[in-house]
Amino acid sequence: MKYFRSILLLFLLMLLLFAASACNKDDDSMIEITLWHVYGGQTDSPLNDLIEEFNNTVGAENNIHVTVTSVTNSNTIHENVLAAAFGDPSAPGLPDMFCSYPKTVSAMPDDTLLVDYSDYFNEGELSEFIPEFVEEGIVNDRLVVLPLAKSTEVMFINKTAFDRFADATGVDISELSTWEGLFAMAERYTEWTDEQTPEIQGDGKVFFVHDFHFNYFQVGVEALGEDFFNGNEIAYGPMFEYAWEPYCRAALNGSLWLQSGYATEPLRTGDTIVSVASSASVLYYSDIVTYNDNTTEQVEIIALPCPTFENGEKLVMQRGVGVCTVKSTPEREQACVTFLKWLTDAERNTEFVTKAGYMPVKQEAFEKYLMPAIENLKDKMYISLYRAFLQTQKEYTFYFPPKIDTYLELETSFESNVRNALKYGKSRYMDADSGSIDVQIIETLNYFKSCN
Amino acid sequence: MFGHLKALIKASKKFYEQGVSIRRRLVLYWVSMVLALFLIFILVLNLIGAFSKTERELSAFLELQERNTSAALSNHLSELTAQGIVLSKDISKKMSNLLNDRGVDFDELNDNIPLIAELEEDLYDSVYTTLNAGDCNGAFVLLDATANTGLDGSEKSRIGCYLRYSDVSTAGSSNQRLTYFRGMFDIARKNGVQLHNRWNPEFDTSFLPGYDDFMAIRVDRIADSFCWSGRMHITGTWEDANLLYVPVVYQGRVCGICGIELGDLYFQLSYASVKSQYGNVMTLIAPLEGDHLLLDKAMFGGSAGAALQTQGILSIKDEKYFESYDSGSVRYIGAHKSLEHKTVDGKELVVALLLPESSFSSAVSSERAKWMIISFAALLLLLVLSFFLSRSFAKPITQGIRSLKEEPLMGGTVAKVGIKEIDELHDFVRALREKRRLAEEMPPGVQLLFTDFSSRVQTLTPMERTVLQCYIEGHDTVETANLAFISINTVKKHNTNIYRKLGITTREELMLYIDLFRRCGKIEEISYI
Repeated sequence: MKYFRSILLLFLLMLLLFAASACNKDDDSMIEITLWHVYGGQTDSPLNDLIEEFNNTVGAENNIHVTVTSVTNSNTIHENVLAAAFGDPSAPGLPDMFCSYPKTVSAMPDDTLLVDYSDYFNEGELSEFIPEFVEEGIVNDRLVVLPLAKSTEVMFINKTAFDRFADATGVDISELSTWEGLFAMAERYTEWTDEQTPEIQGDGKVFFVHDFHFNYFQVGVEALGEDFFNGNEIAYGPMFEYAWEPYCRAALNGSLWLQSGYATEPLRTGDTIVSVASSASVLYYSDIVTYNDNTTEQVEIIALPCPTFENGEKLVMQRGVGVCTVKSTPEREQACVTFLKWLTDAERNTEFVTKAGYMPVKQEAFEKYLMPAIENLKDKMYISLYRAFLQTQKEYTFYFPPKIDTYLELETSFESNVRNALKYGKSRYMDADSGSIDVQIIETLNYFKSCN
Repeated sequence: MFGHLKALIKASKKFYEQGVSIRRRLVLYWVSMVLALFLIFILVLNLIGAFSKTERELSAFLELQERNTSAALSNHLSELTAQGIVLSKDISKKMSNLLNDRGVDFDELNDNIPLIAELEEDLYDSVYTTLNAGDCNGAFVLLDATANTGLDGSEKSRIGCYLRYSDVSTAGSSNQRLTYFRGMFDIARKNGVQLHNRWNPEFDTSFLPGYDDFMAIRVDRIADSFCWSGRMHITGTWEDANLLYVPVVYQGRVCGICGIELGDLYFQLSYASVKSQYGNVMTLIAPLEGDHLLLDKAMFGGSAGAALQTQGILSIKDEKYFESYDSGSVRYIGAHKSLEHKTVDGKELVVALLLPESSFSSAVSSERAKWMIISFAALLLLLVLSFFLSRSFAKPITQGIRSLKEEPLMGGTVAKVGIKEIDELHDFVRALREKRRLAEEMPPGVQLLFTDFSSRVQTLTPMERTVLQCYIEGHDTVETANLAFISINTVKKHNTNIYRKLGITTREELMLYIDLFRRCGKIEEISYI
């Protein structure tokens, strides 16, 4: 019996060895996780470079490979995520991770198919983030949007073109610090550009483009001390009308850009010279303006804090998507979390965000890494942007949109309806004589309300 | 060492001298047989090629995959080429109509912005249709003219139209995002298309591989004159792509290029890696040069993490069941086939299916390990069986032998063991014992005499017993008197008493009794110690 036992032991050992070697091979297979993000759009992407670094280092050690299958913008991701979530025809399946605003999650038919990060981050790890950013990512009591990079709205100006205008007319850039001043200058600019071609009437150029008309009203009305929302609808109170007046006036005069698309476009072609857009759009601004005859002009693009109303609070929209992870298997979810923890490391996060016009999301980043990173910036546009960003942080309060189910719907329809209403109003105004602009402003508002 | 060997031989000799138990012997026989069978089993498996089954299976699998993938890819590329040819003819026609209506030559397009705008407006529709119809993520046309010849570098700047999907993962779904990459921006605005973030009004031909050579070719048939750019970087973006070049012909000469874009990400999503039991099989298209695949011009399908570098070469070698592809750092196995398409520098494009050799090897070794585990499990089972069988075989034998030894102590008879030989031995030994016992027993009358004499001896006085003892020891009367320290007369007196008590009359009778007692081994019964 004695040697029977030892043979049995020997055999079990061999079995274990073989089983281990067989099992090991299976574990060697890579976990490939997919990501949809917004950092880079159609340009060179700083995040893609960082992902390559991950894949070659921590990813390789842990058998994780991150593949980017889409780089677009937050609006496109909204549509794609909802199309996938609702199962639209030919919609691609959801990736493992995607960048998103909480408003997209709120609009999803079932947000429980997203991972709750509090299952993967302990309290200590979560406390490293700026508390408001974490708070923003909680939908239905679950932390589903992990903060990654924060942006805000800033004003970008084609300084070269502006200086030409300022030299000729005596306007000052400081007037752009208020909405009232900006819209007044807008009309002046359209007149001035029209005067440059006396033989052609009514070819004055547009002065200003805003990427987010909805935010102009939402933040503006709140800054003027009124509620923008009334439950799940827009309130349209007196302050809304106050904000509407100069804005509509500029639009009817042809000083406000009414086409869809991002603000970078008309600035790129010289069709406008001032814009309000996300700080992250710095990645897409070019310091070259190209005209129809192929001639180009090297220009200086500068950034300033977003304008506010004269009697309003200095309030500005807090933007910046976070990352959602889709539930799958524990291994895949853990792989995603490993990647996200690496990406949101304070120093790395700072390195990434400062290449893309964002602010980092952790306390430590602000305390230790942000200032040195900013001081190391070489591109003049970026230096100007971060100067504006820091000034905004110092002087403004950040506004977080409310988490109502209809937010995304309201925003999307508002953006297209307001542009359409203004185009409608402008063309009617062109038919009537200029004395009735005040009437037209009110009529356009009524028309807009009826569409919305 | 010899000392050890000698000691071993000595020990084993001693072992055999002691005798080997039935059970151990049986176990040894069983084990030897099982091991022999096992070895034969392994040999047979090896001979019938059970261990190289995996390579053959892989070869069959690769052949099937290659056939399917190259058929699908060939169809795909042919369709795109067909669309490119249709686009080229359409553009030529539109251009011809416009230029003839205006009464201008092709070269008069230069610096003529309104005419260029009109032409590009026509081109937009054709390019848009091609993009929608094609399984691709971009379509373009470039014409050999520019809007402003006076600018620096204008000889490398060419008019045209280039539309791209901004989000490849949704191309084909209801959420396609079109962007305007090259062309006059008025046309984008008129058609409500977003300008690409890196839009420029004209193409920079220095970024188009082989542009100059392609523009100089002689075209007999458009369908014979197309080619591919090979992998190239789309300037200012994070994307790489392969462009199809189809010549646009006007008045007998090549006046432009049109075609489609097959983007890197688009290709990856269209040709995902195929999971198999041997690992992930990746598809790639690459130009072939001699027996190398050029990776810097290759397009890679989904690779599930086994990323190939977009530089260097893959050296091809023929192996027994498949081909091997060596990048210098990693080896792959697979197969490749020509696509009947060429790159702009004249190299043949092939489609290759690759599988990392390491994952295949681990599939093979896990298959082998599986066989080993099964064999060893069977071996163990047989060995365990041997032990149990030997034990149950030997148990009744050893028990039977033990009971044989214990029987006289237990009394009565023990039940039969059930093994014929043991039971026969049992009966034999029992008969032998009985015979001995019987041989040892006396007739009853004789036994009575002995018993009577013994009990009479017990009635003698101590001195009388002493005297008797002397006679037992062989002494005569005189010696007895000396030994007992009495006179001869006293001895004679004791003799008379002794004879009387024992019921005998003569010394001879006494000596006879003593002799009988001694011979029957009962002398202790009358001795006086």
